[in-house]
Amino acid sequence: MPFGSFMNTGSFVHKADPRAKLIFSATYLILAATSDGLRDILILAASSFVLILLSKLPVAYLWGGLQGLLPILFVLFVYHLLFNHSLTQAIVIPCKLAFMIVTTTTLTLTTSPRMLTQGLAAILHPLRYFRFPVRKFVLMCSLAFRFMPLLIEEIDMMFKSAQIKNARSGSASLRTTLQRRLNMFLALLYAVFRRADQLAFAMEARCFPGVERRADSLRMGWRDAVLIGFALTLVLIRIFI
Amino acid sequence: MGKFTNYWAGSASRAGIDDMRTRLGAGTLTTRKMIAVAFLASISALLQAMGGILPGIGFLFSPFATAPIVVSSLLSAGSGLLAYALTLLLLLFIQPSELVVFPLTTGLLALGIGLSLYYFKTRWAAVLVGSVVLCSGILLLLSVFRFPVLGPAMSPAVDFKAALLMFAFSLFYSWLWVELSMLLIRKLNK
Repeated sequence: MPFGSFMNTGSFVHKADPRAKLIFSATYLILAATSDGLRDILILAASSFVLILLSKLPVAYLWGGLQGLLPILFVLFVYHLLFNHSLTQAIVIPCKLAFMIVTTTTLTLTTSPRMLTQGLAAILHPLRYFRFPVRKFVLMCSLAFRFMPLLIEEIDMMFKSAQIKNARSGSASLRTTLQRRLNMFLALLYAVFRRADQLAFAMEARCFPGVERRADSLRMGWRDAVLIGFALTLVLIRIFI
Repeated sequence: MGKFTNYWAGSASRAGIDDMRTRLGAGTLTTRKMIAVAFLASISALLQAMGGILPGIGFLFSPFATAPIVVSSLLSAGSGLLAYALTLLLLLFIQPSELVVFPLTTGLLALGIGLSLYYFKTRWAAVLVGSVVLCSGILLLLSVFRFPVLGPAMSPAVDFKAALLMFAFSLFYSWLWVELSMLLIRKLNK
């Protein structure tokens, strides 16, 4: 799963502002979710191809990320072919999912988590008029991005230790198995609250003042105008053609 | 009749929920609550994403993405909503294919159960709200997005009988999750 990985190839897309990339990704995802026919899929495919070329990302890496989803895509294909009797839907729906994943993967691979959260903070800023805690939400995003690999490691360790314990005790009844799963999940929750305690203590010891506004260092340029123009062109093609 | 009323509408759950909130510092330790909610949203996103990352066995873990959102909602209503929004954002980057399923089923059920336990603190309210939101989410997925969330068993064309069956399933599934949530609350209070 290429989450959290930032691959700096110095491409056109890498140098674009994170806000423009988020706007383009959001537009693309909405167009993909609302696409209906083969013509829409061909346009999305062409856009994805252009995006991958501009970002100079290795296609093999993107393909590696998609491989895990092949069974789901195949199931969707078979379901729509056999139960809906529609070859068009059988092709369109798996393709939509695949393109959505490729686009969001491209976004995460071309934008560092820090720039991503800054871009998000800038885009969500108007929501403060609706009393949405934008800065708090963005801080939580950056915490989640930063600590997700550690949480994955914690989950992995728990699964492995549970496997060793269960291997020793041999086969168990359904009730015992469910009890073990629940205990494992509880242990995970305790670990989460313990980590939250430690981090909160460390932050407050360093005089963390709560969530405050930081200087916005983002600046848009010609690359961002091109990306946003590209997104607008896709929308206009969908509406008028 | 006393036991039946006590089970569904009694205040036993009220004490447990208040104890849990006091124990976890829901009202006072704001930094710790914010960090805990961020971590809980991460776990929810990871569990939901397992369905796409590990096809087959991963789908056994996806339903457990409900639990962290329920726990966040029990800390405060705002925390529950923030955890839900944050999970959606994380799923956008980890596994966008789950963005179709999570907001209308797992996540919505968790919010429904968590917020009703937070406000009403009774089983019957949590089960009813959970089942209504889950049923609505499934109907939306089937009829609007044409996503086979219940597999080939349910066709996208939903009639009254199918909707009734779906509500019955939602009621049972919501009751299961309310019981699991009450068990989690009891265990977290120990």
